[in-house]
Amino acid sequence: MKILLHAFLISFVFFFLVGPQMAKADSGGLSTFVAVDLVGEAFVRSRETSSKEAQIRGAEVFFAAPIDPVFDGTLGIAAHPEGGVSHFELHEATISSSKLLPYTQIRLGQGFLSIGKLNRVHQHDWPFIEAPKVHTSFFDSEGVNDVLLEGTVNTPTELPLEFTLGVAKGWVYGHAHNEGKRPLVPTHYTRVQSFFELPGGGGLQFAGNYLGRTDSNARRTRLMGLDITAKWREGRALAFFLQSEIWLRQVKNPGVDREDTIGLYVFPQFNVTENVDFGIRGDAYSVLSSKDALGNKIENASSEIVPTVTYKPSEFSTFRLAYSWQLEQRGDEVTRVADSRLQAQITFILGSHPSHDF
Amino acid sequence: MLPVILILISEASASTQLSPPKILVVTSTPDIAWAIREIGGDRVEVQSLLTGREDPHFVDARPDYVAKVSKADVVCSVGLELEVGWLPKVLAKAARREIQPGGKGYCEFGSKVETLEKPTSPVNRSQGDVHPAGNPHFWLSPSVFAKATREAVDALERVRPELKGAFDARYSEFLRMMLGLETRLQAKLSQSALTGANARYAEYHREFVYFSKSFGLTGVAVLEEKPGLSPSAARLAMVSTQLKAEKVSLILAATSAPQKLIRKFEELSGLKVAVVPVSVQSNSDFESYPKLLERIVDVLIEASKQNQKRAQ
Repeated sequence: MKILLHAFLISFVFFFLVGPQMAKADSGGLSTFVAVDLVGEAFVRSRETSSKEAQIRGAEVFFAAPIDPVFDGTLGIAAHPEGGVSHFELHEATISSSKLLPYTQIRLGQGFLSIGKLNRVHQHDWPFIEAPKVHTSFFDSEGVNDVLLEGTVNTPTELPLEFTLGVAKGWVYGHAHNEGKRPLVPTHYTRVQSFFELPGGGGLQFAGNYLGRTDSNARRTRLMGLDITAKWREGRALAFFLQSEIWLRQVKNPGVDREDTIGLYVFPQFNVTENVDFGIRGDAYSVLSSKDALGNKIENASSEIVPTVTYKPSEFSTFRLAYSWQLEQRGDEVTRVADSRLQAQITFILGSHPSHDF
Repeated sequence: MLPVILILISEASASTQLSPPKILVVTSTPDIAWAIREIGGDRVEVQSLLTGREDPHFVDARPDYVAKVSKADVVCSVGLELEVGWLPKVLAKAARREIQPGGKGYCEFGSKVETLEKPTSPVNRSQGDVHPAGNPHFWLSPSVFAKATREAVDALERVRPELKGAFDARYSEFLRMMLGLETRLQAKLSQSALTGANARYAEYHREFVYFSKSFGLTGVAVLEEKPGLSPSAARLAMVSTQLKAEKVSLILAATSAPQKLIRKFEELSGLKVAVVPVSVQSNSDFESYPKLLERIVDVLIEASKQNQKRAQ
């Protein structure tokens, strides 16, 4: 980890202090961006957690460049606080090519798995502050990141179709600071995506996803999900935006009944003024297989409502305020507010122009 | 009998012999799509990713763009970082070597333009959304646009070298047509009230620089304080005061400019903004480039007449 920190600091000095002069001579087409994500909470009412003090949730440096006429490379390093100390982690180190096979991108190395919607997007680019429960439970707070080999094919058909197939090492799943153990079946995943143009210049992208793995203890996990993104733009403003994911997770431990859990979030957002958007996210989460000691099903649901206001003075910074109400219902218990809090976020990007992914 | 059969087979194969396939060209904007149709004629099939109603700075890398680009023989863009937010991602996902930057099927019109407003000192984001290679809105000048179209001709000739002569001939004709268009519209404007002091104008975003140079107009103010950033109420008020002091009443904005801000400026200033299309649009009165330019000129002349009436 110290070596990684030193590498990061040397890179920072090189690229931001020494680099610019040398860059004029030969940058090899290197593009660099830095993204910082600050979050904080206040007015917390919760029986379980205390408020997060304002902190740098993430500081990321990302490099990308062609390696040669056939291959491209990326390197992403991020710092996150854990226990009051910032830990530097390798988020991405990949070699890829879109020139080996027609219509096909191949990616090898470490990175976030190309599955779902939130898992494919950098955290500082999310349209809301905190991850919905379905994401933190099924994918860990930031997402599933692993050593992977992945291929994506965009078919040259009238109906846009994108197929992704990947396999990842699977020794760990989600965030971990140890090597993990060799799984019985490595993490494997697939995503099939299509797109429709909508009246008024909008578009709807939707995809089906599957992920499976069996860890070293023979715990078998399967995730099946749908993700949807819809957008309408008016000039530079995003007039209307919708993002939603629904996932079913099946976990089977040896000798124990299978546990089925379902979770979803829906986030519609409207443009209020040129630089201000208002959205409201609704989450739901339920352990479908929850049973009492007598084997009777227990009705349960966690839900969250998060109205969110976003101010974007430019493409390169975001100021966001949200208020979260978490509600719990279990058995015959009346639904109660288990948690409520005010959340705030500031993000900014330095360096290369970010791409406008759909 | 055998010779008859052979002749019949030969005739049949000749009649079913396919004519050379059309060059499939995908462009970022409908303006360069129009230009390439003029150059390529029936040898090209051209599709534009944008409809002309969008702000090309703020477009997403949509999956249907990837699907269209992945089938193209040639991909052409405006360049000068106008499409930097979305086109590189579309090209990468299309994963076709020939149409990547540097490939024989890639063309960037802006590479043939002697740009205006090229920064002479290093740029950074504190200056707004500045294009380091210069102002990219060159297609609103017929003469500059015509010269830039040479880039597409070169790309078509790389893909289909046997048609070089044909494309060169059509390009010469295209050049003559565009220069004739510019001369005709210059004459129309010179006969209108838009001369001398009346030829001064303000604009929402710096997209009429090449147009004004071609047609003898003079830009004196921009509503945006910094390129790409929405103006504040204070900025709008300041520009309004400046324009009244300098007796400038012609204000231009593209149809893709934020209309709420345009209305706010009109309320603050009491001045009318001439909103014009700045891109060819299908299913409209300006489906072709000459009609687009004529529409812009007609709107300016009418706006100038109205301003004179109000002043009297």
